[in-house]
Formats: sequence, structure tokens, C-alpha cells
Amino acid sequence: MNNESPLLQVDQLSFSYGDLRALEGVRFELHPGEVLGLLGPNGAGKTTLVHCCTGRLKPAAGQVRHRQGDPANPAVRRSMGVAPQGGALYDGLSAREQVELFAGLQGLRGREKDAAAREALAFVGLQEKADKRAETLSGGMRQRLNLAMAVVHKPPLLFLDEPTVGVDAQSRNALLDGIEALRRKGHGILYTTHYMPEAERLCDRVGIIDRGRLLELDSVPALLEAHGGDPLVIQETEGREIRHSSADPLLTLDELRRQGAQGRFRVEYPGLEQVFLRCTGHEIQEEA
Amino acid sequence: MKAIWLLACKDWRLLLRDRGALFSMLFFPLLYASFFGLIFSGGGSGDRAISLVLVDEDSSKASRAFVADLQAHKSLRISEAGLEEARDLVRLGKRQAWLRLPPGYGEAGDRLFFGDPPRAELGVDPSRKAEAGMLEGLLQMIAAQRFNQVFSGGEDSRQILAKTRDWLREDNGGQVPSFLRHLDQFYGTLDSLYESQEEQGLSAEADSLQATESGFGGFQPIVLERQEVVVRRQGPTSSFAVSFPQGIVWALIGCAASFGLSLISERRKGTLDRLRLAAVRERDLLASRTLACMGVMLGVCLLLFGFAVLVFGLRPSSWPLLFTASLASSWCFTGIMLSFSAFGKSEQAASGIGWGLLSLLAMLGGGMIPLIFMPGWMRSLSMISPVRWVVVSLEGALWRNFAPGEMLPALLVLFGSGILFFLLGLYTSRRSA
Ligand SMILES: Nc1ncnc2c1ncn2[C@@H]1O[C@H](COP(=O)(O)OP(=O)(O)OP(=O)(O)O)[C@@H](O)[C@H]1O
Ligand SMILES: [Mg+2]
Repeated sequence: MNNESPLLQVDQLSFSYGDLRALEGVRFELHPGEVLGLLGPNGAGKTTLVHCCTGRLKPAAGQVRHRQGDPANPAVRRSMGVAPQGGALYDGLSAREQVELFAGLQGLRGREKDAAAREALAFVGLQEKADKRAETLSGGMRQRLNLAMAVVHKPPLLFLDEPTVGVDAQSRNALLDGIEALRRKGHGILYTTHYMPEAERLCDRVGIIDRGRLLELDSVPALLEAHGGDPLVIQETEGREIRHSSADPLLTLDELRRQGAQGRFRVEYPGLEQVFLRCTGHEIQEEA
Repeated sequence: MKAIWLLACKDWRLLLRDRGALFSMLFFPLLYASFFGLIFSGGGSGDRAISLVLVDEDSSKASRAFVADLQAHKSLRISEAGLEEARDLVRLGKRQAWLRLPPGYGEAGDRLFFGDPPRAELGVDPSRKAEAGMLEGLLQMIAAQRFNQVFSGGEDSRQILAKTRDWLREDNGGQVPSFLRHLDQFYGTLDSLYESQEEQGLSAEADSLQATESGFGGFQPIVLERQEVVVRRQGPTSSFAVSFPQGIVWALIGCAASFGLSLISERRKGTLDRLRLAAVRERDLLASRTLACMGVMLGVCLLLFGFAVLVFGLRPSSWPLLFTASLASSWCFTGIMLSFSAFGKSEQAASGIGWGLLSLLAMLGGGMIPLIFMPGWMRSLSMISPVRWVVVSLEGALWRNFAPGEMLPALLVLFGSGILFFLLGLYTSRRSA
């Protein structure tokens, strides 16, 4: 899909926490201008995979390579940005101070640094809260600050680990718009989530991850095509639901009417939820 | 390099906003040191007079008069003793200075402008440099007043003048050069002047002070020969010289605990990893920690001592040694901080074990009971605690009057144990990572 060399290559990656096999034989590539979503339930291994990709954890087997080289090397880390799950903020510093700290650590100086910090705060809509200490920000605002700290130096490769958890619908939309803008500018983004709609809207490709294995990885239409199954015609009558699977739901509806079926009818088209169910054999447990 | 500075600034900023940390590393030690210093000071700190032991080996009329003048001055607390005793009193810090009026003092004074001026020997406690200058000035002034009295009349003065005239004659082998004849005339005028003054009932003493000010120019009323004093003290100069090193111990413990806890919290909250992922090198992280922690410790030491000097009049016997001792102590406790932070995975665990251990070290090392009050066995036991060496080195520079060579063992112990703690901390945190 992209002729440029990948920003990130992961090959046969395995990782264990003691006896627990957290990742097993994971393979994928991430290209510039691509948002790659990792969809999986709690404990699937998403965060562990991100840690291996950023060089925080050393893989037990397999290989992780950035375009610049091995992410264990600090120089290579300069070209990536990470928004860790749950934030990792300095509660005692103001939003601006933390963003400026990370801009400074990434080598920005003086006016360039101030401008980058201002831009990053505007990107997540926190200009008004810039001088508030992180401990006084709400959960959603902290998430947004977390994202601002990751993007302040405009790295080509971004790791966003569930960046929208706890963010209200309006801010979430703004954030997703922002991430789409980054993609258009050619940033490559690895994005983990358990929100299906988010993955459907944002991701060029979605990987289904469960119990440490990357089960499927493809574009949403391709996944639906392969694993979504037929749409469902649902008949609600006398407090019961009768489900009719059908490749052509309009035809099925016609037939049901002709047979004199009673009740209300609706059609459900398959989404990532069905794909997930088919791939893993169980439903994803949404926390929300 | 820039990263180290940015991170140290970050640490300082966070620390300044942490009231608990500020209390434990600054206000508590200050309260502790001030409180115990005041309790044991016995209320004697209001006495600012300089204590001077006089050794009057002349016992002439002039020397007794000079002694009486000194005794009358309110800025001086005068006692008298033999030379050996006087020297010991100053050496042991019980008096600030001694002054010896050698035989012949009075005679030299009687000669006025002729021959050498009267000589006296002065020995001042070297830790009292500020007072030494003041004392010399004061002695010159009082001696000068004596002179003025000579010129402002009275029976004494006339006798002295007559004596001087006689000496001049004798020295010239009975010949009378012309300038002596002029001098005779001058003396005659002076005599009639005195008589008229007495008739008018003018007091000689009344204008003596003005006479000093109108002055003798470069003329020296007394020559003070400074004698070296090697101080060998047994006790501290003031109770604050004991309580402030203890306060510093608590401050260093407070700093080590605050920094250690903030490091643990950084590790637990993930900000430390975040820094690593932001391309900060491991050695820069370590260097920034060390810089931030040592900087704060040294700053707190200087603040506390500055306070003691300004408010309680503490006089360190050597500022450079005090700075060196503070630096070595800060280094040692920076190492302790690193070990402390490697102790527990959570702040609670570290607080529990760490505070316990640190308090034990402090107790053993003289942070609670001053070393000088410890029984012998306890003092030997205290050797194992770095706190002891902090106290010893600080006291060495404050009142024990250590020479640099005497300071060296304590400095080496602090420096070496700092390295050991540093390595222990590094090893433990590497292993748990
Ligand atoms: N530090 C750790 N030590 C031991 N086991 C761990 C550790 N971190 C994660 N695990 C285990 O590894 C597995 C994968 O965890 P991981 O955090 O990668 O999941 P995740 O997909 O990110 O979940 P979530 O959606 O809840 O964030 C889980 O079974 C988890 O219990
Ligand atoms: Mg996770």
C-alpha cells in the first residue's frame, strides 16, 4: 500500500512476563501516513506490544526495528513520540511546564520550543488550562495533556496507547480530527483501543489482538468482508427476538412479510464486533 | 548536558512546590536546631562584651591606670591572671583574648615622644577575627585617652613632663642643644596654662575624648604585638555550634527522603520511563538526580548555617572547611538517597523501611544525642553511622578547630561511603529494573 520504507517493522515478536506469555509471534509493518489500530480486550497484550516497539521492553524473541534503527538506542528514540496508557504526568508541574520540558529534552530551544509547546497545547485544546498544574486537571484533560507531550516535537512515528479513554465525546472528536491531520502530514501512528467505532473511523488497518497473538491485520472493509458474516434481520415479537441471517436482507424482509410475520423488524450489518467475535471466539468486554 | 540541567530544574521546581518536603528538609531542622540551641544556651547569648584576660607584669602606676581604664569600658569584660593561665584560658575558648603588659610598660609610657612607645602583647582566639579588629581599635583608643590626660593637666601630667625633660637632658650627656632650650620655654608655657586651667576649675577628663579626636596623627599611643594563639578547645563555642550540625543531619535526612520518595514515585507513575522514551540517556538521568539532590543539600546547609550566623551569632572557626564538610556530607547523603530510593517499589514501603533506617543512623551517629554527651561505648558504636562523620566534620569546622589534616579522615569516610551507597543504589535499582 505504500512504497516508502516502513517506519516500524515487527517480526516474530514474543515476550513473557515470567511464565506468562504476553506476546507470541507478532508480525506487522507500519508505514508513513498510516494509522494502524490494535483492537483487543483488557490483558490482550496491546500495551506490552507498544512497550516492545518503543524499546522499553526487550523482546524475548523476534525483532523490532525503526526506520532509524534499534529503539533501544536513545538517538533513534528522538524520532518517536509516546503517549503511555494512563498518562504518566508530573502532578506538580503545569501543563505548559511539562510540554516545554519534553520539548526541551527532545532538543528544541528558545522560541522554537515555546512555539512548539503552544502548538501542542492548542492541538489538544488545552490553551486555557496551560498554567494549571496537572493535579488540578480532570481525567480527560490529563489524557489530552498526555497526547500533547507525545506530539510536541512532531515525531514521524507515534505510539498512542488508548489515548481517548475518559475523554468526553466532543473532545474525543477533536482529538481524532487532530490525529487524522497528523496522518495527512505523513506521520505513522500505532494506536491501541477497545472502542470499535474509533477504530472503524480512524484506522487504515486494524489488528485484532487477543491473548498475545495478532490474529488478523487488515483494512476494516477487508476484515468485514472476510469475517463479518451476513447481515442479520431481527424480528421483535411478543418480547422475543428472532434473528435471520441473510446475504440479502431486503429480500429476506420481503419474504417474511409475505409469510405474514408479525412484529417490528430491523437490519444489523456486521461491524468489527462481529469480526472480533468470529476471530477470537468471544466478545470484547467493553468497559464503557 | 542541557538535558541534565532541564531535569534538575524540573526536580527543584517540584520540590519547591512540595510543602511536606520543604518542612522536613528546611523548617523542621531549623526549628530543631534553634530550639535545642536556645534550651542549652542558658540565656547567655545577650552578652556581647569581649572577654579579655590581663597579664600585668609591670604593676607600675601607668599600667594600673591603663588596667583601670580597661575595666571601666563597658565593651570589655576584664579579668587578670598570670601569663600561662591567661594563654590557657584563651586556648580553651574560655576567654577571647589576653593582653600582656610587660615589665617596663609604664616607664615607656612616661617617656612620651621620646624612645619607643609602650609595648604590649596581644593574643586573640583565631576564630574571633571580627572581635580581634575591634579589640585592637579599642585598646588603641583607651591608651590614647591616657595620653590626652597627660596633656590636659593634673599633678600626674606635670610629673611626667618633668621626667621626660630630665631624660632628654641625660640622653644628651648634659649638653643642652638649642632645641631643648626652646622645649624648656614650651614647658614653661604649658605649666602656666595648666595653672590657669586649674584656677578656672576645668576638669581634665571632660574634654579628653575630644582631644583624641583632634588627634596625634600617625603617633601610636601603644604598640600591640600580636601573639599566635593555637586553640585547643574542649567544648563548643556555643550551644548552637552543637545543635546546628544536628539540624543539618535532619535536613540531610529530610532531603534524602524527599528526593528518594520522588524518585520512587517517578518510577511508579511511569514518568521515569517517559523520560527514557524521550531519548534521555541513563547517565543523564543519574547525573541530573545527583546534581539536583546535592545542590539542594548544599543549599540547605548554607541556609541553615547562614541563619545560625546571622541570628544566633555562631562563628565557624573556618568557613572553607565548613563548606568542604557540607559538600562531603551532601555527597554522602546523595548516595544514601539513591540507596533509599531503591529500597521499595512503593512510596509507603520506602517511607517505612527508609525512615526507620535513617532515623537509626541519625540516632547512632549523634543526630539526636550530641556526640559530646555520649558514653564511650556509644561513641565507638557511632563510627559505623555516616551521620557521625557528618557531625564530626561540621563540628570540626565550627568549633573543634580542625586543621585540614584533621578534617581529612571524616571527609574521606563521607566521600567513600557516599560512593558505596551510590553503587549500592545503582546496583539495586538495576537489578529490580
Ligand atoms: N508488569 C507486568 N508484570 C507481569 N505481568 C504483566 C505486567 N504487565 C502486564 N502483564 C500481563 O501481561 C498481559 C498483557 O498485558 P497488557 O498490559 O499488555 O494488556 P493490554 O492489552 O494493554 O490491556 P489493557 O487494555 O487493559 O490496557 C496481561 O495478562 C497482564 O496481566
Ligand atoms: Mg494497555
